Amino acid sequence: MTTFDTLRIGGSSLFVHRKWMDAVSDNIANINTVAAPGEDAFQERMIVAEAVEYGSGQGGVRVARNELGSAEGRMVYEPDNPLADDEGYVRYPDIDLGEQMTQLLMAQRGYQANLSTVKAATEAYQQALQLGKG
Amino acid sequence: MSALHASLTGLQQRQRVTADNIANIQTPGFLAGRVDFESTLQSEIANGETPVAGQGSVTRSMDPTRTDGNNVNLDTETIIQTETGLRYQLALSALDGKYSLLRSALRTS
Amino acid sequence: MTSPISGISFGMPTTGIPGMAGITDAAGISGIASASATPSVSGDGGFAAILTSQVDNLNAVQGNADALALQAATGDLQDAHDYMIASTEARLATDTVVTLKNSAVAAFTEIMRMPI
Repeated sequence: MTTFDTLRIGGSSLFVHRKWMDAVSDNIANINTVAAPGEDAFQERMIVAEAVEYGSGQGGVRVARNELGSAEGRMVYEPDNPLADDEGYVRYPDIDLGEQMTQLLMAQRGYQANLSTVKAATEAYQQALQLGKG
Repeated sequence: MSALHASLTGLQQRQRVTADNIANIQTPGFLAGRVDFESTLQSEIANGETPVAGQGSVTRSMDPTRTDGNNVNLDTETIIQTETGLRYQLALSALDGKYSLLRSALRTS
Repeated sequence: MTSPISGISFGMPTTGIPGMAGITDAAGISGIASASATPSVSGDGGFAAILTSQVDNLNAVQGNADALALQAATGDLQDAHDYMIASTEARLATDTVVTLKNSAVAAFTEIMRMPI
């Protein structure tokens, strides 16, 4: 356990939430990425958060791994699309914009909560360093 | 005064654990941690012993969990964080006040 | 302590030393509290005993502050306030010893100046 540990814990969560926002913005950017029916659709990317040494007092969070969503996608009838197969279907990714926006809001809220943690910890540490100076 | 020191250590630990709770708000299966140092401190003072500046006990909260097994409530943690910060600063001021009192006593000699 | 001071303490009024009351009342500091456990400065060697015990206590308090400073330097320190408290205690203990020494020397000089 190091000095000013609370800053490290808050910082680790800021990193994880930023990774989450990156994944969500990546999903939203590729929401209309079409694939031919023979290939995999663009897979939704999700990150799995994991507590650092849960219960040991080490504290903090990290990204355990990426999970990919379904590769099936949705089959949409678009015969004019150059990638369409003989029956006129193309594969769209199975990503719901509403759900992604909700996740973006949650990630943002978590990010701000951890910013306030870092701020509160900094204030407390600075006050402690003034002890006995008066 | 060592009671103030003991409370500072306990409050700092609570701040760390609360930061850990807020950091793990999305972690599946994570149960919020709770620090209790007040009961040890109170019993030590009631028994007339000198409080030792040790760590409080950390327990896992048994609040109901969401579907992913996480039971961290952001509002609760934010309140705890603010309160702990204020109490920490209060204890620091009290300690600082005692020190300046002693210093002025020494200075008048 | 040297014999002249211990010989003088027998007839020295405790209230004559300004600031002593402030020091003995401040029993809160854990480092100094051990010394002011003997608050009654009366009888032979009372003041000398306080001064010697304060000097001994000073070593312990300064050693503790140094150890914590080392931890702070290497990053092993758990709580920042631990070091601040220890360094303030060390500083106050040093001030106490210096004040006591000054009072003792002043009282000694005063008495030596008395015409016999």
